[in-house]
Amino acid sequence: MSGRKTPPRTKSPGVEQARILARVEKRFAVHGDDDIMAAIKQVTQRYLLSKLKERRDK
Amino acid sequence: MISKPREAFEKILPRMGDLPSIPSSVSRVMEVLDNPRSSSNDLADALAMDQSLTTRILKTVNSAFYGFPRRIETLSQAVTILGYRAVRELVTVTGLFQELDKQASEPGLNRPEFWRHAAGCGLAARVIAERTGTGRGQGIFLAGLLHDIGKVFLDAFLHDEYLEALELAGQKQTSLFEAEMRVLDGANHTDFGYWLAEEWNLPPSLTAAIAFHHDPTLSQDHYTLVCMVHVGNVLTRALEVGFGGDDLVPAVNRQAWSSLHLTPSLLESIVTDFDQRLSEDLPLL
Repeated sequence: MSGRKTPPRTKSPGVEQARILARVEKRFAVHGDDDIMAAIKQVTQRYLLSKLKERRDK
Repeated sequence: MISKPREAFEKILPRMGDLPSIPSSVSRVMEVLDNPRSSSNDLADALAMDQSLTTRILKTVNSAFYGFPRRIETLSQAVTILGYRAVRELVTVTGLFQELDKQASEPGLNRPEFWRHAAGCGLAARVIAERTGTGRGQGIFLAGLLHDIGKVFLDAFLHDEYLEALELAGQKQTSLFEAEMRVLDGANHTDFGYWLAEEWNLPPSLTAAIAFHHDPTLSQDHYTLVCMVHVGNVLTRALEVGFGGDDLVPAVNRQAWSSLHLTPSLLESIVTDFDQRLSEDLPLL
């Protein structure tokens, strides 16, 4: 018997943002306070958040 | 785990089938591209020898990106429109990668995501070159595109060992580079890539990018190019463009960063440019 499927739950923007930032932190953790890697981490955070916004605005 | 990686590589060579040589149709196209006296008709003739290349080129030139009001039907028209550089890159991607992907098996390296990472690295290296004014030319994209070719070799021909390295990297939160060294008796994909590049007689600049993209300071003759590929690789992995086999972001070599005169604000503009080109150029590859 097939019933109506529950639509996938959409995560709130805040939750997704936090998840992205946590993932970036984890992927860069090994570099400590290296200034060059900190600069790359910052652009990465901005880039991934902008991609999230693009997806949400579509 | 294997011991004596170079010996393992040598043993694989005889059973590699077509892999050690670039497909002859691709070699022929490369020859025409390298000949300054060749015409677009010569190039179209060489391309016509290979059905998959022909299809790919016509598909690209008829894509929405070029937006021509009428359909381009002939290769010589397509070559004129795309230009030699774009044709060279399409030929490389189509010819070499299709050959290599014949050996793909599951589970293993996720090939579509891997090639996206490779092409992203090529694009990032090219944007870095343009933005820093440190280099130009078609070789930059290709160097980025092929930098991890050793991973494809390992995934295809030492599959069980490579799967072990991929799983090790995933489980232990260690870099794939380090996991490879554990499983491959101290060797890694840059060693295998270098040996493969030598077998293929690839140009020295491409060989250097393949061999030294994890440590550009080891490169003597093509240092700037290797630095661009090195930073391009780190950036592509950081921005999660495709997947290189593990989640960690490798460190940028400070000397490479300085020699390209990179700064945080320049990096910002590189990423903006890269992002725009990624959506415009990458779907075509």
